[in-house]
Amino acid sequence: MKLRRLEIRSMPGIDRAFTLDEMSDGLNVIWGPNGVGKSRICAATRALLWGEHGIAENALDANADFEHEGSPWQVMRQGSRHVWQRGGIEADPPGLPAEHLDGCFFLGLRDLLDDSAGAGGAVAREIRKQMSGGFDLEAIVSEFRAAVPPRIGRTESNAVRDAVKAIHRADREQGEAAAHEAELGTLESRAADAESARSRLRHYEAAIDLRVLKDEMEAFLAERAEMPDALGAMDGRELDRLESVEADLVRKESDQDSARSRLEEAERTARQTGLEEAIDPAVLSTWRERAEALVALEQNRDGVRVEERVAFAKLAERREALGARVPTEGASNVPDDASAQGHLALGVEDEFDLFQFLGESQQWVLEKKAAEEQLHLLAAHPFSEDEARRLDLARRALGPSRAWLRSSAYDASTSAGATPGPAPGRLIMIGSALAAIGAGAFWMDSAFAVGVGWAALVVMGMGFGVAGLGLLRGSHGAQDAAQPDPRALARRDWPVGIDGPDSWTVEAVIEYLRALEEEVASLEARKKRTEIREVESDRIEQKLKGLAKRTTDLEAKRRQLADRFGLEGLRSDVELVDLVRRLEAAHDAHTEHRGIVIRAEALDERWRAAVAALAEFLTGFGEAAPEDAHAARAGIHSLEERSRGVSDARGAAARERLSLERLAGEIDALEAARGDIFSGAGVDPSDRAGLARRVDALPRFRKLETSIAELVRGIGRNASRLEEVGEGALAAFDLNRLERERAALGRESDEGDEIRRQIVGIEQKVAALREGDSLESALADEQAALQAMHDRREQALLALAGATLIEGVRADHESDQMPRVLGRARDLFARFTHDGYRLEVAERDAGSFVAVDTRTGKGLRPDQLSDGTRAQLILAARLAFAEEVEQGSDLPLFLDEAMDHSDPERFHAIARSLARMVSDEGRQIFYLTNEPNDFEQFRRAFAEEGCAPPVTLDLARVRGEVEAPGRSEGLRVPPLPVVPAPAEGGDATDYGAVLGVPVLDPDRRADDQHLFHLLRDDLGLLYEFLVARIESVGQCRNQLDSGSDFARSLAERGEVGAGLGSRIDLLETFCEAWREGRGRRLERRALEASEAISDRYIDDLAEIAAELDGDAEALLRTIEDRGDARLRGFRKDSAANLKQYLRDEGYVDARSTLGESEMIDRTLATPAAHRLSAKLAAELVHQWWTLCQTRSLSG
Amino acid sequence: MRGARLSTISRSSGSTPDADDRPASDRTSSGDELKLLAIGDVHLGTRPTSLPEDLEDWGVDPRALTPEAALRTTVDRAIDERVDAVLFAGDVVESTNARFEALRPLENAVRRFGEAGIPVLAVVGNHDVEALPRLAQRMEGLELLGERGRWQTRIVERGAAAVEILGWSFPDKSVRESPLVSLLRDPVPPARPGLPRIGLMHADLDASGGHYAPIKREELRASGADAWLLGHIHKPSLGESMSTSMSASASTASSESMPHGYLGSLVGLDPSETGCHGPWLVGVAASGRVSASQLPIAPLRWDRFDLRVGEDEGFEDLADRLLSEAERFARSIQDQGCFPRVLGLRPRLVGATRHFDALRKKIEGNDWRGRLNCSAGDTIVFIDRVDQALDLAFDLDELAQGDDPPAVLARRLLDLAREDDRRNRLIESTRRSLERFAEDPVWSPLRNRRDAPDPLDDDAIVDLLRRAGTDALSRLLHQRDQRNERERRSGAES
Repeated sequence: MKLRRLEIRSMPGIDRAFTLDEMSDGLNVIWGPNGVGKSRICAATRALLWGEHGIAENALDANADFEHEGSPWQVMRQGSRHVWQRGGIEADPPGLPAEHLDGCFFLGLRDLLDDSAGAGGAVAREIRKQMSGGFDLEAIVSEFRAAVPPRIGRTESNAVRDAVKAIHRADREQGEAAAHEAELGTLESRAADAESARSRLRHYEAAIDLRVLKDEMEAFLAERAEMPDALGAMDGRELDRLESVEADLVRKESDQDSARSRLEEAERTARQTGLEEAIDPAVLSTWRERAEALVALEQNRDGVRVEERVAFAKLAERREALGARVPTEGASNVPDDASAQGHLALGVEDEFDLFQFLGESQQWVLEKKAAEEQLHLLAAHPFSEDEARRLDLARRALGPSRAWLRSSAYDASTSAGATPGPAPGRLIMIGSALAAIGAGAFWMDSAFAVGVGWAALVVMGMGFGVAGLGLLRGSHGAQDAAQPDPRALARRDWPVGIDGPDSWTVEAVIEYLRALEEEVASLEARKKRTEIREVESDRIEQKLKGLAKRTTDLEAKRRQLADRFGLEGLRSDVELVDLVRRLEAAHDAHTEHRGIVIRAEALDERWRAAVAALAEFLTGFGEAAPEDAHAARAGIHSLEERSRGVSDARGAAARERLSLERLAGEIDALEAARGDIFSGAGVDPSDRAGLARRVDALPRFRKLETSIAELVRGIGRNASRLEEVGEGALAAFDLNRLERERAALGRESDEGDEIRRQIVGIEQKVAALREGDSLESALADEQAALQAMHDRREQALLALAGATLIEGVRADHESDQMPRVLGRARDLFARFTHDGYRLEVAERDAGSFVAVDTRTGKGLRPDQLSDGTRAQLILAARLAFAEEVEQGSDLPLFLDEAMDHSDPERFHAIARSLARMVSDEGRQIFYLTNEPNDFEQFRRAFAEEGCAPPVTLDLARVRGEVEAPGRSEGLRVPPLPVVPAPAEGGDATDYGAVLGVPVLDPDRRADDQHLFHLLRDDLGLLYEFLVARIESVGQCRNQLDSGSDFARSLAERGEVGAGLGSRIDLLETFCEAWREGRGRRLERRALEASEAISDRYIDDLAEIAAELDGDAEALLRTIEDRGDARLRGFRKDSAANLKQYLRDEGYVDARSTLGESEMIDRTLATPAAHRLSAKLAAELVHQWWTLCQTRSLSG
Repeated sequence: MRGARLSTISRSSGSTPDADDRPASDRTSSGDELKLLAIGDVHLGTRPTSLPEDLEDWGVDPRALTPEAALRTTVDRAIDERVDAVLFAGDVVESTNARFEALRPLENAVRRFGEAGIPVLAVVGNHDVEALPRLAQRMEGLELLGERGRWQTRIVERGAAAVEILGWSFPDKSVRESPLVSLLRDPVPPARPGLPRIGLMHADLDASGGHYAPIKREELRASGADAWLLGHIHKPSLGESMSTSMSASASTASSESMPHGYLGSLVGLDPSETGCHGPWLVGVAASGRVSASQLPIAPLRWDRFDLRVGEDEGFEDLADRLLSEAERFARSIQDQGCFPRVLGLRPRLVGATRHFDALRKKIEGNDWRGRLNCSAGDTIVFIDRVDQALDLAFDLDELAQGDDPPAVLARRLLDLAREDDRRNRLIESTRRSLERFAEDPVWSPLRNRRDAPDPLDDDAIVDLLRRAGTDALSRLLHQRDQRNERERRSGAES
């Protein structure tokens, strides 16, 4: 299928239609800067092929032309409409790969740079599935292995361990109980002995008691004999009593002294009062009340003084408002006549004059103002000349009008024989018409307001019509009259200057006449009123003249008052009013103040009288004369205190005299009691120490008396008890012996208690164990746990057996069924990497693909590869898979910057592979890039493959956006590395030096050796390989295995080419034989992998291994010698484990090394050598041996 | 109390021979037939495992299923049967629990035997080599035979009837040589001429070696005893030789038909101890002819049966079928006179099925384990576990004709059935791949068990491969069916 034309009219990111056409059947390089829409082309093509594909249903409007199997196909998508046409006829879509496989045909950079281990996983799974004949063996293996989790059996193992622990616990408990049970006999015997000891112990204790009692009694009797007999009469409280009596004596004497002092104090106090006797309390009470009254009077007086100050302040304020001088606050004498004190000569008595003047002034003003207003009104409407002329004309028109009317009446009476005037019918019509007009006019005002004005107009029209008819009738009547026309006469007499009626009809004239008469009446009335106002005006003007004269009087009066009051002038009446008001307020304040002053003076008088009375009373008793109420009250209080003091002192003195008499008697009694105490104790009255000694000895005396009595009883009792139990002899033992033997018996008895407890404990324990089932239960648990473990292991083994079976089946099947896609992927990948890597499908759980390094044989997962190699790996797999799944549709490949991460060589290799896909398979390819020189690289690669050059489509230019830079001509592509060709007849060693070939290193795999070492004798062939970027033996082997054209052509390249594979095998055998007895080189990684070395030693061991050049045997010797301080403390078991690991993994090879002849023998015995000539094989081996020896010697 | 008694005559190996070389069948009758009750491995101090946790909910006290309960029932039966003596064939008590917990039931039993006048003879097994002699010293009425590894006889007689019991006890926990070698080399003479003789010992019959007194059947036959009652193996086997013996005519009776075999455990201690368990009633005729019949009085019985699954039968109905089959099985053993209180069954599904995966998952999920129960009369029946030996409803030979993975697998399954190199290679490769797992220390408790089977012996591997292979083949065929279905749908749509 070839894409011929693609038109995108609109889609997200594309808002202007563009078309790509003139596409090549081969490679089309669509170039454009980022954002120009390259990826949109891929998306649109996907959507055209498979439907929506990430583009909203209505967001795409595009169509494409394809050529498929010789037929033109067109696919169109407009919104949800997706139509395929074949040859212009709507048809089903052509056979396309499944939609989910679209990723094989549209490869983006992101896909190829996926650095996860599972990159390409889907493809790998599909390949593996294909290799398994479509069966997902991996899934089945996974299912089986899922049944065997990593720590399987741990739970069951723990359960078993717990059960075993429980068994051990129970068993240990039972073992201990059994051991104790075995001791029961011995314990019972010891318990019996202890019981016997306990019995004798009591007898010994009684004997000891008896012994002790006897000894005690003897001592007591001796002590008592030495004590005085008087002790028997003492009660032991003598000293207490003596102390009490003496203390009382001291206290009484002290009281006596105190009473004397108090007596003296009372007498002194009485004297100090200055009073012989106390004053009558009633008298004192009276004077106290008078003092209190004086206090109230003082308070009242103070209050009045405060009022006076307030009134004075008010008076001062109001005087100040009058302009008078303000008296000093506190001045008691405020002058009654303010004029005498201030500059304002305004007295209270002037108030009337001021008010009178003010009234006159105001009256004059009002009268003048009223007269002026009246005069103004009278002059407002004079009777004008026009009005007079009009009145005249109107009067003159009255006559003709009336004459005309009269002639009209005459005419009517003569023609109709009736009284003059309008005919009744005509009058009715005119009246009706006027009514209609009037009603219409009246109605029209409101009718228009409510929207029916047309009706009013109709009514008015009808009125005018009827009026017309009436007037017509009147007209006919006038014409019909044959009498001389008096009306003409009337009209002839009509005054000039006034308009007549509108028409000379009776009605009009009547109307006119009425109006004229009204006008004449009005004008005449007005003329009359004007004449009256002129008279009145004259009168008022006279009055104003009179008022003007009064003005002079008033002004004179004003000046008089101003002079009188000392004012500069009384400019206005308003000022006068204000002055009068302030004067009145000052007058009120003065009156108020004066009243308060009088009250204060009265209070002062009363106060002075009261103070004088009190002073007289107090001074009579020696108190000071008071100056105020407080002093009076204090004097009264002082007098009260003195009266009370003299009274109290006299009473106290009497009491103390009585007390002194009583104390003297009590002291005598106490002296007598003291003498009795001494005499009772048998000591001298002055021998206080003797009395104390007697008292001290008394308790002991009494104790001896009691103890002796008890001992007598106890001795008798114990002696009897011992006799009763037959241990009377014990009474004769001394105390030491008794106690010694009792201690021994006590220990024995105490042990018996413990033994009995042990016996009971053991018996209880044994009984409990016999009835219990803890061990049986634990055993059952163990069995159950073991059974569970067994089941678990069986289950796991079953699953593992299943996995093993399936893996075996897969291996068998894969070995038999090499899938095309894998072969193709391998081929592509080998080409991309110049056989540097071989593609393998990863084993289970190891990701998707593995790139096996053909030099080292080491497999690398995608995440372990460089970006470029990984991209090549996945590209190869995808391309191969695309071929497999397209079902013959030969879909174009879209590579969206898919090779961006390839270095020039890899790019070149991939480009050549794509060229082969184009040329060999007719594959159409679109490569989308923003790198201008990609085109040139493609062009060069395609040229090398003999392919038609690629077509470049400048997308930016197609879309008309920017001018593209020059293509290949302006861009430089770095040249590929050039492999130097061997010189004609040149020496192989020299050529190897030019190439920089590394030395043969048989410690490494044969695949890792340079191809030079195989083809020294055919440098031309070597050159061809090198040009194809195949340098290592491994790459070469991979190429041979690939079955490529080049590989097949080798068979025709003489002995060397045909035997190349055998040479590789021979070299492999040589390397293996060389390594025999030498062991692998040991590196840190291997040490870590051994898991025998802890973190503590890994660094040191790696360091030592490096120092020993990776010689594992030497390392083991160093460890065994224990001479290296770095390995101090390295455990023996770790060393043993490491040794075992190094042997198992080939780092230590116990075999002996082979010599050259043995090497030759060994290699010549291989099938590879048989395929080569023996001579050649021997030469090759010798050559390699020599190289290795040289390397060994050179170190 | 009955008149049975033990004679005071005792002969040990090496004592003066009083040989009676006549065959047992020729011995003269000495009166009425004696009845002995022979009891195999009791293992007091243990209890059965794998019982359902909710057994009590079904009205069964788990303690009624223990060896202690079984011994109690046995004592009742012995007294009811008025036996002349009771014989224990060793392992009366569990070695790991022989101090206290096992003591009480044994004391009770011996006491009750004593009260009923029934003498008790016992030999020591490998389990009670320490405990039983100690207990015998403490318990009046319990007499050991063959202590310290010396052959010893006792006569049991009632009236004119008598039988001589020849016994040997384990002197140590491990006896690696056949005790019968010494007996044959140095026979124990009969206490009385013409007395029938029954051997009683704890040994490992037909074992090629081991620690448990390995003996050979030929040695038993050569011993001259009229019967051998053995302990050690828990599966009763005396009945097999009894049927042989019974079928042999008197004229052809010989040592070949001598009754001998294991008495078996008194009650099945785990699901592997299937079949009828209980003591044996041994009759000894005056003629010397020994008869034995098992008294199926064990309160718990384990058993297995196969349930054939129909080709299209799904698991939905299987639960009912399992229960009905279990009940039917219970009825069948009841018809044979066995009325255990509890019957634990491990049915195995057999037959070719098209629903292998569904059935396998159901079985592996243990959905039925311990949950299915029914009753048959007074017997509570429960399904302990369901095993499967199902085959796929496909012709393996036909499948093996192709070259796809199912064909390769089918060929491997067919290889298993053949005794050839391919089978051996398959077994060997499987063993290698499983070895590391099987030898993981985590499984050491299983390996350390006595008589632990090797999970990777040939038979075990073949069984694993057969089951796992069938499972794997089923999964492959399922994938194929799915693929075919997809292709069919795809074709139908196009």
